[in-house]
Amino acid sequence: MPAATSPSTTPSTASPAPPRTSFAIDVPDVLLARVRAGDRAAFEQLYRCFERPVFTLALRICGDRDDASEVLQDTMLKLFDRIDDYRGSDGAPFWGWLRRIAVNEALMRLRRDRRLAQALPGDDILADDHMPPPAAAADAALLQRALAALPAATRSVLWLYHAEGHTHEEIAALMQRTPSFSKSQLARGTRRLRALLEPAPLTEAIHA
Amino acid sequence: MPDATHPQSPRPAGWNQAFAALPQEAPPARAWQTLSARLDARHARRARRWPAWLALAAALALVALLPLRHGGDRPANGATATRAAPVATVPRQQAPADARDAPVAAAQVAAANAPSRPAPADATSTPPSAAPADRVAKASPKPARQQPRATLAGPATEVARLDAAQDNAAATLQPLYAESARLEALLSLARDDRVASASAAVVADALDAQVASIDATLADPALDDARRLQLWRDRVEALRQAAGFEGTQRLLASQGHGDALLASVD
Repeated sequence: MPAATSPSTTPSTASPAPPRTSFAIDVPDVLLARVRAGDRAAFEQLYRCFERPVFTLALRICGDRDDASEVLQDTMLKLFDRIDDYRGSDGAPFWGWLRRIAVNEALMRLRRDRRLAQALPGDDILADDHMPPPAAAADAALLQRALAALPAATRSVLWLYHAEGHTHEEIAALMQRTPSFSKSQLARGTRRLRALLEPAPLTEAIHA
Repeated sequence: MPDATHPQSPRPAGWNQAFAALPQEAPPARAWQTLSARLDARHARRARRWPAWLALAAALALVALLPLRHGGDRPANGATATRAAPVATVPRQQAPADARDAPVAAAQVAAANAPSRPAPADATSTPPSAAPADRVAKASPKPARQQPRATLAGPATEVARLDAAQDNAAATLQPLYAESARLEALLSLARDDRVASASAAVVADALDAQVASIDATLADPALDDARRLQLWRDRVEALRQAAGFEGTQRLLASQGHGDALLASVD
């Protein structure tokens, strides 16, 4: 039985920290077989299992609920079309396979809307920020608001690196940019995010 | 002090932990219904789509069988031809009448394939967007042209001269009548109003309007033969464009090109 295990169990990334979008859903072989046979009820069952993770991933990257809804639709249509391509027998988790489709769809939407060109300026690679996030990062509403304030490409790099566990090389391939771009945006985006979450006086000091 | 601001949430050890702690979001409630409807629409569209080889085979069969169809239809349509074109009852006009019957037969084919098109009350009320079938049946110039001829009075020689001139004109027009009928039959078979993009519908309507305008002019009994001949040539050319356009649309649809596939479902 192929399992849609948490990406945290997937040893496919070379990230300094393992992937973090943690949820685990077992996808029975018989359900996949029914979906492959075109069973609409089985497809709905599969959709219900993954609609929230896919929508959330799309929302984090796109930063907009309408876009995320479209990404969810397109991802699920691709799932329906390409279900034959997925083979659980090779040990690949179903969520890992579906997540790749969702990430590609989300980035494609940003690219189509010319938002993937929106990034923080500067090509030089800053020193890595190894400091822990500010306490305000524990507040989901504040963190989401700060993420939404980042340019789309910067936000995508941060999410793909920190939340999905992709390497800079993988991010560069996904975004059709260079690893240097990914590293630069990660460093700048992390600092900007920290600044947005820090109390005002410190934020002003950083901007000064 | 930040920790005092967020007393219930432990400070995350890293950004990955902070991101992972974000709650999952629920998509819109009707997301599944929308997805299901899109799947249905795609399924219906694929079911309507002809494979390219089938479209090609159908086109070839159509070209091969169309002349036979017209030849076989003529005797059976005698009554209809008499009703639609009174001049066909004139014995001396029998040879040209065969050619003139052809558009009427085409009109029947077109009418059978487009039952939703309203039939106009008479030739003068034919709307520009009416189907070619209706235009031929109701606005055909032949009855209007031939009606005065039946009541023509005068010396025998004058009548003979006029008859000869009209026979010559009819002989000249005969290939155009036949070609017009063939194209109308082809058009009625190729056209599928259920699947048409907005741009294709606009082009089709423009071509229909062009043919309707020609038909309205042809309905004038005072037209001279030269003008009538030119109008029939224009009519054939317009029908040829329309048939070519519809054939292209069907071919594009069979190959899955987007513009040709746009239907009411999307």
